[in-house]
Amino acid sequence: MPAGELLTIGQVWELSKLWYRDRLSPDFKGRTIAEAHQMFEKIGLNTAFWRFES
Amino acid sequence: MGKTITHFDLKIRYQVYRFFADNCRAPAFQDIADLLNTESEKVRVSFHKLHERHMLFLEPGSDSIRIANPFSAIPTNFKVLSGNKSWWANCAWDSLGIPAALNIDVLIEANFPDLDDAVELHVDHGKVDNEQLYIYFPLPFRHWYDDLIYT
Repeated sequence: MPAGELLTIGQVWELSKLWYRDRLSPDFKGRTIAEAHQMFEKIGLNTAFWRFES
Repeated sequence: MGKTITHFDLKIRYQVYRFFADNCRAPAFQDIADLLNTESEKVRVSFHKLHERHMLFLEPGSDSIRIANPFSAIPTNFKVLSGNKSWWANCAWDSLGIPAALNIDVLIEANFPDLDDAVELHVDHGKVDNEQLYIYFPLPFRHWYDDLIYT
């Protein structure tokens, strides 16, 4: 298993807003891996750690 | 992977989240059946379908919700408080997920018993303090759903 990653609180807050902002919406239907990748990339998380494929 | 998620399942998912947000605890399937005036068995089956699709997470071998990210049904080291309400988050990330999901200001009390340490964070008007602190993500994205309790 590769080592983990450290994110600042500021980065995690930005990720949280993207990841969870629609969780209380009646229209939330889950998300695809591609959509998750887009969220990670939006805040600069581009390494293999944040990719679904190994 | 299980059966197709239907409009009914998505309605159940929404009601679970609404219940968690409003009542600060996980609903039993009977709670949701009562709210929607529908058969409890249909809701129980829906809980399991949502579990299979990672849209909520049941206690192993039971019908009880353990996790509906970012909410935890059981006490954890991450407590999120707002007004007269409080919720348990599954991890440090989810403790920020609760104010993000509910769009509210909060106080987060994070306890680290192994280190005999505690940290308080505030989310106030969309800003978080202590931005320079770090959160450790132990597992890469592709393994997050292997064992969600550990993740």
